[in-house]
Amino acid sequence: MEKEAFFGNSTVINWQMRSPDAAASLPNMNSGHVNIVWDQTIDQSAKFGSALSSLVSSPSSNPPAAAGGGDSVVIRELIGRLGSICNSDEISAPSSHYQSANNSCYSTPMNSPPKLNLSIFPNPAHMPFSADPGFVERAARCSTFGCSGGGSHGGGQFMFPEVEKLGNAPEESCGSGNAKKRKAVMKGKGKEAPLSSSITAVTNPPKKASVGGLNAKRSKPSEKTGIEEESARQDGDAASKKMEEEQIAKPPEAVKDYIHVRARRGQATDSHSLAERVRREKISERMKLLQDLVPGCSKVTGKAVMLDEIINYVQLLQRQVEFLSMKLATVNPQLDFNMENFVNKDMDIHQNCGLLPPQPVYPLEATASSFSFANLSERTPLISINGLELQSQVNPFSQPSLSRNLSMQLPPLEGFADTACQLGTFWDDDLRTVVQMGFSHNQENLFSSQSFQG
Amino acid sequence: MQTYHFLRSLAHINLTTPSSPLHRRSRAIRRAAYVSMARAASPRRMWTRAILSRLQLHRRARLLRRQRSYKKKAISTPHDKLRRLVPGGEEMDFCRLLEETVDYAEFLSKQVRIMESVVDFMEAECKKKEEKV
Repeated sequence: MEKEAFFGNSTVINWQMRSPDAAASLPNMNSGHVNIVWDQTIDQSAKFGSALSSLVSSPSSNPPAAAGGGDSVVIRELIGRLGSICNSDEISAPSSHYQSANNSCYSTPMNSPPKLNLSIFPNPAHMPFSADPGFVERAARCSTFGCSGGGSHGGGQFMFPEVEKLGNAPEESCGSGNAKKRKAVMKGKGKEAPLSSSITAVTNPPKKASVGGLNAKRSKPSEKTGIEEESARQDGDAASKKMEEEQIAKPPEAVKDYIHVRARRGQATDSHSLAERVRREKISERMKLLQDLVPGCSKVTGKAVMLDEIINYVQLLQRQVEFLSMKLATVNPQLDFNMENFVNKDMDIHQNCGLLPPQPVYPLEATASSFSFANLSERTPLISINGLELQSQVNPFSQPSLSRNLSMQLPPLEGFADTACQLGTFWDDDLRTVVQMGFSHNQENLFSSQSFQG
Repeated sequence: MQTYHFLRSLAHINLTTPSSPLHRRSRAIRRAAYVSMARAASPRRMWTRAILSRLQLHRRARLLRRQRSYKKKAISTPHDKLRRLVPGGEEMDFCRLLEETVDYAEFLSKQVRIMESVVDFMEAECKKKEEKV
C-alpha cells in the first residue's frame, strides 16, 4: 500500500521536474534523461492500468539513445503519455483499441518502435512531425476527444501541415503542461492544492509554527476522519487561509519527508495514515466508477447502500446471463443453418446499400484484392465511430494474401454486423473487436496478440 | 472479441450437442458466455483468471471448493457477498475487489447485451421462417 502511494506521487514530482528539464535538454539529449523519462512513464502506467504496459514496453525495449536521437525519444515519451491519458480517460472501452489506435497515429506498423519512423521516412517533410511538440498536444486532444479527431487522422497524411504550424520548441512545455493538468484532473484529487500548500509550508518561516502549534494539535485527530477530510477538500481555498496558519505548525522537516505523498495540510503524516488515506481515495474512486456503471445508483448516498446496489446489479446480470443461456439453448438448434442463408442474403443487400460514402482514402485499401474486404472497409465507418480504430483495422491489410484469408472469415461477421446495425450501437466496439480478432487470428505470427487483444 | 468468442463457442455447442438435454445445453452456453467474457478482458484481472482456471479444474476440486465456500457462508457482510459474486474475489483485499467488480460488471453487462441481441436475432429469424412456411 505504502509503496503504491510512493509510486503514484513520485510520478507527480517527476513530471514537474521534467517539464522544464525537457525543454532545456531537447537539443542535446543524453541517455540519462531518457531513462528518467521512461521510468516515469512506466510508473504512470503501473498506476493507471495494466493494459498499457505492453505499449510502453515495446518502445522502451530498444536502446534509448540508439537511432533517431532526441526525436524518437520524445515520441516514445509522448506515446507513453498518450496511452496513460487514454487509459484513464476511457474506462469503459477495452483499452486494447486505444493502444492500437495510438500506434497507428504515428503511422508505424503495429509493433515497431517509433524510431523506425525516422528510418522508414527519411523524407524531410515527414521529419517534423516526430519531433513536433505541437503534435503531442494535438494527439492528446485527439485521444480525449477520440471521435472528432479520428476523421482527420484517417485522412492519409496524419495532418502534417497543421502540426508544422503548431510546432516549435516553446510549445513543448506548454503541451506537457496541458497533459499534466489533464492528468491531475483525471485523478480527481485536485493535485495543485497539496503541492502549493506544501510549498508555502516550506517557505514560511518556522516562527508561525510556534504560534499555531496548539491549534494544529487539536485539529489533527479530528481530520483523520473521512468526513472532515472531504469537507476540507471541498472548502479548498475558502478555508485555506485559516487552515494555513494552523498547518504551518507542522515541522518543515516532516513536510519535506513526505512531500511526494499527498499529505494535505493538517493531515496526519505518518506512513500508516498516509497509506490508509490513499486506500480510501482509491476505494472512493472506484465507488464513483461503479456509481456511473450501475443504473439508479447515482442518487444513492452512503457506501453501504451503494454496495448493496452493486451487489444486486451484479447478481441481476448473472441471472440474466443464466436466463439468456437457457433461452438460447431452446432457440438455437433450429436456426443453425438458417443463419448462414440469412447472412448470404444480407451481404448482397449491403453491397448495394452504401449508406455512407467511403471514408478518406486509405492507401492500403487499394492494395487489398478481395472484394469482400473492400465491402467491409466501406461498411466499417457505419459501425465504428472512431477513425483511429479504423486506421488500426486497415493497417494489417498490407499483405494481400491475408485478405484472402479474411474473406473466408467474413460472411459470419457480416451477418452479425447487420444485426448490430439493426439492434443498436452498443455492439459496435465488440464488432470491431470481432473484426480485429479475425485479423489477429490469421496473422498471429506477424503481430503479437498482445498489441491487438490486450 | 467477446462476441466473436461467444458466437464461435455457440456454434461449437450447436454442432457438438444438438440433441443433448436442455439443462446441459444451457449450462454449456452459460459457461461459454463467461469464458468469452474472460477471454475478452485483460488477462491480468483476477476474475478472468478465476473463470479460466475454474474451467480446467476437475470435478473433484470443484466439489472441494464448494464445501469450502459453504463454511465461509457463516458470516456475510456486504463485502463478503460481493466477494462471492465476483469470481476469484475470495482472496482479494477490498480495494482490489472493487476494481475487479467494476471490470467484471462492465463485461457482464456487455455479455448480457450480446446475448439479448443474439436471442432477438434468432427469434426474428424464427418468425421469418414461420411466415415463409
